[in-house]
Amino acid sequence: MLLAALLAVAATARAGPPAAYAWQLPRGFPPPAVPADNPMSQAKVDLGRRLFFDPRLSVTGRYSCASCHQPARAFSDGRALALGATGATLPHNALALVNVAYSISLGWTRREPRTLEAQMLEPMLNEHPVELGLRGREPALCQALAADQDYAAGFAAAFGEPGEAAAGEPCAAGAVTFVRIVRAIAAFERTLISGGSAFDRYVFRGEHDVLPASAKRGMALFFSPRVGCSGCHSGINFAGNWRDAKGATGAASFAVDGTSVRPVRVPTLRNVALTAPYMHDGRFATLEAVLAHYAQLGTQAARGMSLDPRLPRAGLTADERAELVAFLDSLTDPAFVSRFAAPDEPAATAGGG
Amino acid sequence: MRTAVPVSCACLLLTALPAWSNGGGSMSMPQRMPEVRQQSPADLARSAYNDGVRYVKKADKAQAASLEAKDPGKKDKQAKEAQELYGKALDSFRQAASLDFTMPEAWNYLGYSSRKLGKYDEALAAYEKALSLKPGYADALEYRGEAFLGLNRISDAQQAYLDLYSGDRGLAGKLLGAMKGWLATQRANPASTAINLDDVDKWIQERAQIAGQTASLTRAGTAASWR
Repeated sequence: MLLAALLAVAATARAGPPAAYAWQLPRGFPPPAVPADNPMSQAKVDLGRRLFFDPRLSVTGRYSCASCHQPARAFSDGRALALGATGATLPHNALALVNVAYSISLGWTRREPRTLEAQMLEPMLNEHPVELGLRGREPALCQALAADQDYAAGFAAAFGEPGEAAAGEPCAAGAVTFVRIVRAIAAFERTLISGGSAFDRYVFRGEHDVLPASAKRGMALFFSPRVGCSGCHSGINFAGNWRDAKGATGAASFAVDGTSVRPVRVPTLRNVALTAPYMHDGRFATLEAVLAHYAQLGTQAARGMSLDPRLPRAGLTADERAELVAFLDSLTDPAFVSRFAAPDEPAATAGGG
Repeated sequence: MRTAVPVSCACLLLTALPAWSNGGGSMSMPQRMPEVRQQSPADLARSAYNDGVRYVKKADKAQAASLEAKDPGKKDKQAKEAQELYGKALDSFRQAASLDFTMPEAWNYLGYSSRKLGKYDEALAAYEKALSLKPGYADALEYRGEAFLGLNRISDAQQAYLDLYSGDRGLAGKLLGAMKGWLATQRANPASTAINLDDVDKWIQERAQIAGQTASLTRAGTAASWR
């Protein structure tokens, strides 16, 4: 709690005025919201990128943020339920970090936390179950990073020269502090912006031949009132309401989708073909299985389950399912996946501690 | 034309700079004047700009009346009046732009008036200037798209539509409507162009379909779906 508060108010006065950050935004994408106390800079993004892939940020020294958020899987992990560094099973499927800068809140079932900086404390410090397992190891982490010349220079470039650690800082060594680690990673995560799919080329760049006919038919179904996928998966990120520099379009979007009696987050569908298995508990291995689930929701509703009114009540033929899958495939952005590959990333393994 | 704000007392000035509307309407002028002093070139430019906006509003009205008139004589009279008023507007905007070279709204309306008078090359140059001063200026993008149509530069008009589509779907829709009008005119005189009108028709229809399908991806569409 203290650390969360510190993240919200820690002074960055030692850092000089940040140079204006040049977002590389796809057509149709607005500038993301950025916390006033963590302005973007290229130096911070570069530092955060390195930290994101660094296995030193775990109790075992073999696990990193990228272990659960792998670029090749659109920053998800391919497991039904995520695993922590020591092999503990986590409650939910690892959410893909695609366009996470536009998320109003983070996590599958709660409307908090609302910033990447606040959310990151959970995987870093949670003990039940352990995720990265850094609680109690913060001083050692700061010391290790400060002893690395490249990191020391990176922190100084991103945040300025060291000063006295703010009250409540879990660790500080030279220019390295825990709050700065969190802020740098958050800055990097805000750059995980995907808007170069075939769909985007079709809609925003006017490349009318880039989508096959089956995908165009699937697109018509997706946005149709009868099938109604876009009732929930609206917005620039196909995840319902979003937040950008102008503010939020509404409250974070949650729906009772037939997999839980409680509302769960409407996840992004961008790069969805890469993020199997699906749903908050990873119960469906394929997109076809997800569509079969939604196609039979009318029956479930008849049994009295209180489903979100936006959900489709119509059945789908086999052809329609195939067309919808073709459309969902068109939301894959190959450049996004390759852009963030870490060439020197060590193979991450859980439970090796 | 965009909504214009009434102007009062263009002869005296406050030291604080008045702002003008983003849409390219009239520029607001101070209501109460504590002292009299010499007008600066920027003040004179604003005054000329506001004169131009008044002429444009009258000209648009006359042009609309001409289009609606059934009687040929009345139609012709209204059309001539519109042209005269667009000419006066053009003079005002030229004056405004010469007095304040950095006023994108003046360049935008200079382009608009020029286009209405059939001076498409001058219109395009003015829009380019407006866009160089205010990158992404949606009104200028839309007007420039219509100027491209006037020159039968369809691929440029299509690109203008795409440029608008990602930032201002309302104005993109307006330009698409102008493209439909252009197409209807060309269909009525098929010998007047070598452009494949069926291809243009197909493009327009596909863009209209895309816009309709993806309305839920916009800010307003998203908010509506989750209201």
